Amino acid sequence: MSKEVKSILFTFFLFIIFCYMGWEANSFSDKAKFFPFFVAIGAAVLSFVSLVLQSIDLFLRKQKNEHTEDIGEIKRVLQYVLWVVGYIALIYVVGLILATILFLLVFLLVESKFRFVTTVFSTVLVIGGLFLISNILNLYWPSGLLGITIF
Amino acid sequence: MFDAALEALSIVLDPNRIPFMFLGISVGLLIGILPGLSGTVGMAILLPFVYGMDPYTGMAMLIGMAAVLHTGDTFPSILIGMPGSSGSQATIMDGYPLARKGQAGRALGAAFFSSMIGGVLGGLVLLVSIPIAKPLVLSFGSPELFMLSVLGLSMVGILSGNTPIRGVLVGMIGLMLGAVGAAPAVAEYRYTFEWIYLFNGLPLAVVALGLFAFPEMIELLAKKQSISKSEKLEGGWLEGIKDTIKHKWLVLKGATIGSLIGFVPGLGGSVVDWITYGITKQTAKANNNFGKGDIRGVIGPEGANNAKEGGALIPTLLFSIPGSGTTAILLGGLSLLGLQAGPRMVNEDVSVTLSIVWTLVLANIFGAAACIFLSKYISRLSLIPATILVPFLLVVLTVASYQSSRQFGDLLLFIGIGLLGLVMKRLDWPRAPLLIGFVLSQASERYLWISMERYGFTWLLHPGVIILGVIIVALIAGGYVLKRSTEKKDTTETANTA
Repeated sequence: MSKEVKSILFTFFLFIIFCYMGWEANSFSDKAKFFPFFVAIGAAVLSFVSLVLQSIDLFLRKQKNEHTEDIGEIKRVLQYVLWVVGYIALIYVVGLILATILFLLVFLLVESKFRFVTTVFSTVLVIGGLFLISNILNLYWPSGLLGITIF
Repeated sequence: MFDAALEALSIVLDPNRIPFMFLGISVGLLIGILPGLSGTVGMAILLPFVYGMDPYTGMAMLIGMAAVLHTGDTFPSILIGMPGSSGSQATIMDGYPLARKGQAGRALGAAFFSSMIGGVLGGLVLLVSIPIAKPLVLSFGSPELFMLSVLGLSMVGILSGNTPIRGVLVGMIGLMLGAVGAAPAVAEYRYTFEWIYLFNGLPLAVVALGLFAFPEMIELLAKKQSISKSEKLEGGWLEGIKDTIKHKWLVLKGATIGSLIGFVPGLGGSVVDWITYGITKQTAKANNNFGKGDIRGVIGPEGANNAKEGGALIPTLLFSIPGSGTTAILLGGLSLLGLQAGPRMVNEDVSVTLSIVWTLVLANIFGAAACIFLSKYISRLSLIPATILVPFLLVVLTVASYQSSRQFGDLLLFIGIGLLGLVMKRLDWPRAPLLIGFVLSQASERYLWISMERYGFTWLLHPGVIILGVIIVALIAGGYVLKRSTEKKDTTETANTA
């Protein structure tokens, strides 16, 4: 799928979101409604105009060049998005400190190709840094569903 | 006045007080370097320490922190493409592309030097404006504040490049995201879906980190690149300083805009750098390279964000009107030191006010010097391969995001906005307009509502509103004319060469 087609799909997604937000704003009281309602309606109209213009542009240019994105790169993007999502999900379950230890150990070994000793040393350094910062700046970490609090 | 200023300088330079100013500067630089942490955090850290201090020492520490915050926050903005704080969002636009070209040292040198000059000028503006500030501050009512918001929103078009419709659309996404949470005009929650996290609205730090940092991290990993595409760093900090001297009027322009907008309470410092960036781009000759790594796009906003601090202190010290969370805590600090913000600060306590001016000036000089020294080493971060740098960055970003409201929603929002930013980046949609719309959403709605309730449509005839309206139209039209003439000139030159 070309970038232009994806852009049209994204604009259509925005159109739906703006329509929904406008419809939702209609249920607010007058004083809460006027700003989001008019912005949403304006944005929905503009996204519709953009949708039409992009479609015409795509139709006219279709014969000229059809360039598609590198599938391998998209797969890599998805792979790393999953790494981040997995890290956040792990934080939700076991809390930030334990999740960070697990994430760094696995990521540095698998993706960064660190040696085991370097991986452990780097992880200890990060956790030590977090401990120091949490004490100096009085920061808090999510403890997770299991309620594990290391420091 | 001159004698009083000299006396205040000798008080600030007292060997017993200098270490406290340096403590403030160190905390300010650290908070700036750590993405997502704001001046409010720095003030909150230092506030407990001011108990028992004399007013000059306490102020030296607190103002030292606030003065250099926007100097330190340049590091993450330029090197990693993520805003160190709300005041350095626009620096990303050209600072990060310069780092990608291997010119991180040059961008940092220019940023720190213009920050220093901007900060010093901001301090001087505070000094000069002491006798004339009152009528200026009081001349800004809700209609004028609304028009200033519109001035900020007009930057959306300027930052959209060749895709104005997309830019405006993205700006509207920002406006709608800013509408999430409590309505300013009535006790009602909007788009919260009964989720308590959304009741206070979306935190700016998380939105900014998600929008800019998340996509950069993923893209770097996917392309297996380091931040700098070249293997060697070109152009050091000295070249950046030369660039700043070459564009001295730009620094002056940025500092003037920063000071002027800084002293308007209620607009928020987050928009100063965007307005300056927009005006810089709009009024620059041959501005085709903006957004791709033009050093002028770094110098302008960096001169403004430090100068803003001097301007922001005018309403805080003279009228007890805090313009931001940082200045609100500063007001608390004044009380702890036995001072009272208000007219007393220019009469009985004028020596304290003058010591604040000196602290601003000195802290900016020392802070910039420290950053220039550090930049030589820190800019090497841009050469580290993504697979090594990004996992550590992700931990920092996660921690920074969580500090916004200390709820798990911060992390979910980071991912959500991050995915939106990633899609926009991959589809070549401009992302900066979203942040401008988001930052100005609440202010626009609030001041429009107050203006309409209080004046009906007659607010449109206020002299301040008309002047600001003319400035907005002139900026947009002037930029359009300048762009057309540059394009025409380029076409003519290309034709002549051919």
